[in-house]
Amino acid sequence: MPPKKISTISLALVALLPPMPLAAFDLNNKAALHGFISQGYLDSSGNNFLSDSLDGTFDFNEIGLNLNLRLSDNLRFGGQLLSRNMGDYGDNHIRLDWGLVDYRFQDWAGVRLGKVKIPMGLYNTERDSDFLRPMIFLPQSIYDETRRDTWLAHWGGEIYGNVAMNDAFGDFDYKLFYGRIKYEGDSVYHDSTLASVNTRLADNRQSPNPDPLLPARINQCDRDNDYLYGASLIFSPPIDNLRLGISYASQKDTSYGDDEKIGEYKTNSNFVLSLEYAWRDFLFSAEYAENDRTQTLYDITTFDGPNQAWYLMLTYCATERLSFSVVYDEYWKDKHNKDDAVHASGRYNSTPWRKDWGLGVRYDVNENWTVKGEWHTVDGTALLLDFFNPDGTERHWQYGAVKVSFNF
Amino acid sequence: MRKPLKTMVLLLLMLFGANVPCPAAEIILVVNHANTLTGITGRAAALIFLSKKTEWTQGEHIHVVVNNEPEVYAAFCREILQKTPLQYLLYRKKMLFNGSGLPPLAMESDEEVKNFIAATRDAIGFISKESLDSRVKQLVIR
Repeated sequence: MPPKKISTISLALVALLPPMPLAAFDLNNKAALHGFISQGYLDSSGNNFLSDSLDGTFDFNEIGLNLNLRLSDNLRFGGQLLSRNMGDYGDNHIRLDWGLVDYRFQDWAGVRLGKVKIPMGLYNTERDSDFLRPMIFLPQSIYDETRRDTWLAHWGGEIYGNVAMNDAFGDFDYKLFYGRIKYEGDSVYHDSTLASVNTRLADNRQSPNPDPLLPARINQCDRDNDYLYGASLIFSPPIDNLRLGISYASQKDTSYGDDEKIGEYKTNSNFVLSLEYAWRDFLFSAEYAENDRTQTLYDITTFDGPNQAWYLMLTYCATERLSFSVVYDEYWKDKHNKDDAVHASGRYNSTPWRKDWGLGVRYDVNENWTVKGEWHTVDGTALLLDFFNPDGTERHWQYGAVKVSFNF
Repeated sequence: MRKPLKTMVLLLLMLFGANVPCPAAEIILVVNHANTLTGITGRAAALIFLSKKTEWTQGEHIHVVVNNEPEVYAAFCREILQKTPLQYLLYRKKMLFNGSGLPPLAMESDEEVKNFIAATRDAIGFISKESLDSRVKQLVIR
């Protein structure tokens, strides 16, 4: 076992098994210090998923620490530091997960400024906290783990509030947000963009009439977000534990290769429709999403059109501590091009879809400790990144994970 | 049920700490005597404890306290919020960890809740009905 893996596991175990119980710090609801740590194991067969998972990996952890200060009934400061490791990414560097000042004028109107979570779908704002959800992995069609570095929070602000009507109509939670995403140079998204650009340049070199103005390859790639804006609306009708939601976002990015502008990425419309219903010991959730995007590289449109994503998930709470989940998750890279499997770019991909069946179990040892395990079988290679699988991919593959989380 | 299967089920129930049904506590909402409200709808109460409604009608900030005494807490979750105790716990943790707010203050017993409400004009909490005394005022759920 490489030294890095040993140190990672050791550090995680030391933290997971503290000699004395950790305690949250709450000062009369004026100041609160809380945190979490999770350590997982990821394995797969057929393809590498998010890391060199074919060999199994313990490089799968998160550590978070947050502080909230309530300065008055309406004013709050808060922030969370996060350190995570997923295969070769994250490397347990500490970064700001979210950090904001929050002023609530009325129940129906408040404002948050700073680094704010992006409220897409029902669960995007809570992805870093493993213990908050039934399964280890959220459905990948909508909550793509390879975008987690860059699609969780933005620098900017949001206006939010809750509009409660009378008891016969229920209430709405709304958010309107505007800001910019900061793309880190060590993110999966950054590296996949670099790989994608160099693939395009390789295609050019090998074409019958190569464009002589294009470079053979680029060594450095940067991506700037020009803007991001959107809205989220969650309706809670007067039916207990039913939530219906719609969220929308639009963004524009500019890509640079070796400091020269090489392309643009624009989402014309990105929306998620959501439903969650808890009934007795069952929790059912379903979401449907489309992301209509246009990407250009070196003045060539490499992609133009909407993808399509949806899932159904059912969780059964056998006891207060033990629950079982089943999920079916489906993704199509091009909503309008399912049959011939040819991308708009003309690049052939035998499986521009991903159909994932997953089974999971969650056991809450107590309020602080959670143990989860799950197994998935997948048909399709969409969303898999080439650079994790340089020797090609297999259409049918499996992945599984176990994870222990502690929060205080 | 065949004996080995029955034994296995019993072992699993012991292992995973299955919830054995127990007599549910009868809970009531309580506020400070200075609060002029006498009653509240179940829906409005739920909005308050879900931190969606943070002000009384006159505009004062509501100071919410959650009672962690197990039977009382479980009864409150099921009767007022229609949630399991774990669901409400995760709801409050979600606020804390996704940056959306500070969850309500939590206390460990009826006594603590009553003392806090007696000392805090705009507070609301819940206790078991049998422990109601003159320190606090019951808020009727309509």
